[in-house]
Amino acid sequence: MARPTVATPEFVAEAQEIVDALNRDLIAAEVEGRAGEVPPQRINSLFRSAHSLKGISGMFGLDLVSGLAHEMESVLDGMRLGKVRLDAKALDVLFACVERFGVLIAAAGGNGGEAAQPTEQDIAGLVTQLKQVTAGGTPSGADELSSLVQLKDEVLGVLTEYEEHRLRDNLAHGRKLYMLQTTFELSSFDVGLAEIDAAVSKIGEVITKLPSSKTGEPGTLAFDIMIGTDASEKAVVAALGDEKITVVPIARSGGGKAPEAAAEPVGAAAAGDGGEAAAHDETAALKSVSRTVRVDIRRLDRLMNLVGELGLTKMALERIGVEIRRKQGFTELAADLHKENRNFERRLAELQAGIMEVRMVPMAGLFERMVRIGRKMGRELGREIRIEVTGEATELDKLIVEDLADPLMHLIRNAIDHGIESPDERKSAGKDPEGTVRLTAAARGNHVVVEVSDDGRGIDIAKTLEAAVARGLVAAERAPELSRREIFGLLFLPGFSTRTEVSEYSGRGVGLDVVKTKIADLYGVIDVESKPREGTRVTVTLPITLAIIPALVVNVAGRTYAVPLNNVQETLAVDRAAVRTIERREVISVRGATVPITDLRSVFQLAGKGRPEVSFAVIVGVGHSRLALVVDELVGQQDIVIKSLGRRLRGVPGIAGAAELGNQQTILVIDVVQIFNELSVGRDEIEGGA
Amino acid sequence: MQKLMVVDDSGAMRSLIASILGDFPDLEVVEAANGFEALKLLPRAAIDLLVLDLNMPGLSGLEVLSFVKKSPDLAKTRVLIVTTAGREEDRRRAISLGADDYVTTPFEPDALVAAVRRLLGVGG
Repeated sequence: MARPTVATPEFVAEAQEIVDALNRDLIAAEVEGRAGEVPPQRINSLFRSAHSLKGISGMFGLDLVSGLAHEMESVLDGMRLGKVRLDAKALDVLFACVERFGVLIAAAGGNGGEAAQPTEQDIAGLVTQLKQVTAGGTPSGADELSSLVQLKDEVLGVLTEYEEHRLRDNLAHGRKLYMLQTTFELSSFDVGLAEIDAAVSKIGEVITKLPSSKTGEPGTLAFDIMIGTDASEKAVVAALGDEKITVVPIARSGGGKAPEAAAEPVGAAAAGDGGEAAAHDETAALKSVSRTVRVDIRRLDRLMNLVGELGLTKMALERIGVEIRRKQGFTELAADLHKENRNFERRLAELQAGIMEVRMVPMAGLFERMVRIGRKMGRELGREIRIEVTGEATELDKLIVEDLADPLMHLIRNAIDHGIESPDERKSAGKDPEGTVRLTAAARGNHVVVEVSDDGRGIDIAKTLEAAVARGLVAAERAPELSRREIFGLLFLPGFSTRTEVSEYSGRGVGLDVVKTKIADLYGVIDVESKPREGTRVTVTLPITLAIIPALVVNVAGRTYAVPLNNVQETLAVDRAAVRTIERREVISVRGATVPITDLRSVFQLAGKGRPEVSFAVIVGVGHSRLALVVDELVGQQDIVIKSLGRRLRGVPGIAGAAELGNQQTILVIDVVQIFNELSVGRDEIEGGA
Repeated sequence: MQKLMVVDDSGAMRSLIASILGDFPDLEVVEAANGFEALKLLPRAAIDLLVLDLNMPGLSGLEVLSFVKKSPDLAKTRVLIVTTAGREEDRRRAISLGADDYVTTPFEPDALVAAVRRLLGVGG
């Protein structure tokens, strides 16, 4: 049997979690390092993550990850043992490692995307850098611990190298050492230990927890917990606030007598009658290994589809009820059916909400990645930046969060590269040389608003117009007529860029137009606001999920379509007389703004029945542009589960997928983004602006 | 039927070890996700062999090991340590605390099977 060389989904998920944890800890360490000292727990946590990553990636055949993690572990081991300093340069190297891990693991999981894969040389380079960090360290002196502190060898012998170091470090800082002796019921000792951890962390640190088997009480566990603190014995007792915990001072060698009790826990008082309770939950404990499960999101999609189908069944039942009432009047059975249908509807809504809840993840992980990337970009572009994050607990559908990474990265890139000025420029403008980029998320009903803002130079309206004219994106004579909003809209047109020089981050030929498209794919809307010299704010409004979406059902030429409500801004009745033609395009006025108008009849080349007297316009928005779609009839609003099309219809322009209505009727869901692209409306809207 | 407990905070590692030992005759594999769970289960699960990761949050493998070796009730429980290359110091301590054997990651499945076979006294 050979080692598995295939990364299992479980491995990938776990490895990604470790990378996220590394990232979180590095960001925290950077902040803590600036404020003073990085706490030992932080470095130990980093060490443990690197160690775990090395272990599992080695077993699952990711040798590049394992090799790099090994070197990272050595560096962090040196740091937690006080031999190597965690300075800014070391942090940079560690951040670079974590970034490579992310890419390599994503690729192993089949989610590599467009990110360039690190080469072996690339990894070897990082290994060398890590080795240099280690080499810069100094070995710490090592007196025999038994000559420093009066602890029995059986205690000292159990300490890991790290715990030994923490013990030495506490001694070196002149802190007092205590042994906390306590006995827990077996069924809840982890809770008890966590409480002690929390209490001790306020006054010092836990150096080691030694399970002691000396008490023979069945169903109980006795512990000796060694702590280091500046607090007096009295203060420690007060901080613990639990009389069942015996606090025994540990004497230093060369003075005082060795506390006999240190390895002789009392514990009798706490033994209690936990035995029965412990036996009671034995079966449960044997089964419960972990309280969380990881689920492939496709399974949730399947469940969501089933909910959608149950929704159809519900509607069919309702229709039958209506039919019965129509034919036989409101009989008792009809009333019962009606009542049960209402029950069914409520439960179904709960089921749907329950599945939705499982799909939701906080944005924290994504934001952390963004902070890391932004930090790296700032450094490479010679900007001093601080990235502030708020609302990272806001939850969003996991699939949306994943698809948001690219556009968000682009927006941050823009803020740093185009927005934030160089430190000198900022100083002469009377600003803090350190620029700020803010990343925020907030829930607004069924939407989440994500903002990227900076306190940089703002968007230069004149330059933007000039560039747009130069690139033929707007006619020169129209330029003076454009509103601020329309000018900002120019930034999202394909091929727009105000920079001539190419930097690694902003000169890749993709611009905000790609961001707009990606956001639009998520049924999101993007908006820009900017003030000269004060900064720019980009607002992205997204639906919280794509699994089930509200849609506007419309009729055109006797056929039924659904328009995702996220794209719909408003609907209005259109009078043929109000339609004007500007530069060979039909437009209408919507609250003073000129919006291109197009008939879905012509988009889908529908012949059939003629247009009714009164038609309606559905005003749809994608990113920054708007378009009026002419339909014959507005049927109503309905939640739909989009299904992908069969082979026959795939590739039909303007159609995103199919959905079913209650009467077994399959309707097509309009892909508003594609219609925009087909008609290139964004450009026309600007040109037709009034 | 002999009982083996895998203690590792990595679910992927637990699954991997459990699957490697899946073909073992007459062996029940119990999993524990950390030292706490291990200590809760050990006194009542009659475990013959503990496969113990040293690097775990909360309670380390060494702490679990010292508990096992101090408990008279667990005198018959053998402990196989899973260490990682480069952590020889921890391994040395584990052996001095009474660990019965160790495997070093990344290990070949055969190495784990052989160690488990030896400690459980199964076959050649």
